[in-house]
Amino acid sequence: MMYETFSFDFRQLGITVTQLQKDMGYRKEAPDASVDLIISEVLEECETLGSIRAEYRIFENIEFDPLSRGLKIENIFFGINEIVFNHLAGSELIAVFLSTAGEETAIRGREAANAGDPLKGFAYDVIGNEIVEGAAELMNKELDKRFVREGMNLTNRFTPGYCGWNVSDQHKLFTLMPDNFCDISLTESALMKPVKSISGFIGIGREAKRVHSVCRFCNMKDCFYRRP
Amino acid sequence: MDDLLIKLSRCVELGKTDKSSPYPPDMKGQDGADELARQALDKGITPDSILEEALIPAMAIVGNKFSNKEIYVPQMLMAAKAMNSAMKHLKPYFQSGETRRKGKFIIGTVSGDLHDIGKNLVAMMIEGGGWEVIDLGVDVSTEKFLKALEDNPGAFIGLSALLTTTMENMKKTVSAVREKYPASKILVGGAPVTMDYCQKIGADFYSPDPQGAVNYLGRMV
Repeated sequence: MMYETFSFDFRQLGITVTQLQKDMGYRKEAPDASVDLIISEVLEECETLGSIRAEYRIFENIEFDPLSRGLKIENIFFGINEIVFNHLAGSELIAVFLSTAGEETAIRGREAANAGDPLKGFAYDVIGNEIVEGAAELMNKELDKRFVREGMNLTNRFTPGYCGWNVSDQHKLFTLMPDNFCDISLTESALMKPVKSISGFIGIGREAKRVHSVCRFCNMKDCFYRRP
Repeated sequence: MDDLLIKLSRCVELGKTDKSSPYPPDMKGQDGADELARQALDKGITPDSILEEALIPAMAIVGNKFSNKEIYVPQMLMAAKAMNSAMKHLKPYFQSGETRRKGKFIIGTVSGDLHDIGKNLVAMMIEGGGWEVIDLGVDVSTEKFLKALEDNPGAFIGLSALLTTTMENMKKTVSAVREKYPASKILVGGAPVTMDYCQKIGADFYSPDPQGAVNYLGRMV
C-alpha cells in the first residue's frame, strides 16, 4: 500500500494577509487598519507553529455502487451520496487523507476570546482553517506529481460532513488508517481532535477531474465558508 | 438623552473599546466604551438607562448593518468587545438584581458539529440585546440542552448547525425539547437551515442573521 507522511513549516504554506481578509468576509473592499493589525499579529505569532502535518494512503480495492451512490474501500461501505459520488465515480484509486494544523491555533484562539478579544479569536479560527487546508493542498500537490507521471489526474478533496456525506462515516474512514495517524483522534460524535483537522477522499484516475470549487454544487447558499 | 450615553452608544457601534484602543483613527486618544460606562454610572445615570438607551440601540445598529451586509464579522466582533467592556461595569447591578435583563437565552451548536462562529455571533448580539446568554458551546448533546432548560426554567433556546448532516441532530434535540418542555420557544439557525426546515422540525423561529433572532426575542417580552 502506498502512503506518504508530510510535516510542514508554517512559512511553506504561504498564507497571506489578503487571503485571511477574504476568509473574514472582505471580498470587495479592504478592512480597516484595526483588522489588518490583528491579522498581521496573528500571522507573526503563527510563525513558530509546529505539528502541521498531512498524510495519505492509496487504496486500489475500491468499488462504486451507482444504486446507493456509495463507495466501498477494502469492503467498507461509505455512503458518500450524490455530489461526492458524481465526482469520485470512475476513479481507479482512492487516496484517503488526513491533515491537521495541530492544537495550537485553537488553544490560542480560545484564550484570546476568553480574554475578551473575540476578533483575535476569530482571526486564529480563520488562520487555523487556512493552515489545515494549506497543508492538505501541499500534500495534494505531491500526490499530483506522483500520479501525473502515470497519466492520472486527481479529483477535489471530499470530506465527511459536507456535500451530503454523513459525518459519522468518519469512524469508518479512520479504520483505514493506522492508529493515531497524524495524532488525530475521533470523538464519539465523529469529530476530530485537534479541531483544525480534515479528513477525506481524493479520487485518482485517467478520467478524474478537479473543479475550481465544489461549493457551486452545494445548496448552502449562506454558508460562511462558501467560496465563489 | 445624556451626552455621555450618545458617546457611549457611538463607541460601541464603532468598536472603540477603551482610551488605549487606536481605532477608529478619528477617535484615537478619546475615551472608549469602558471609560464612558464608568463615567455614566459615576454621574448617577442608572444601569438600566445605560443598557436601554446606549448599549442595546448600538448593538441593534450593528446587527442591522450586518444584516444589510454593510459591515463584516470583524466589525461585529469589535462592537461586541466594546459592549463587553461597558457591560463589565453593569455586571454587579445584574448580580444584585437592581438591573434585570430581558430573560435567559440558552445557545449551543448541536451534537456532531464543532462550528461556532455563527453561534458566537448570535450569542454576542443577543447579549447586546439585553439578554442573559448561557452558551453551552459546540457538539452539545440533547441531554445537555435539556439539563440547561431544567436549570433555567422559561429560558429561550437556540440551536445552531453548519453541517447538513448534523441538521438531523438538530431535529432530535428539537423533538426532545418539545416533548419535555412543550412551551419552550426554540430558535434555529446555521448555513444549511431554512424556514422550511425550521417548520418541518417543529422549531419556532429561524433567522438567516443574528439581528433577526434579537428582534424575535424582543417581540416575545
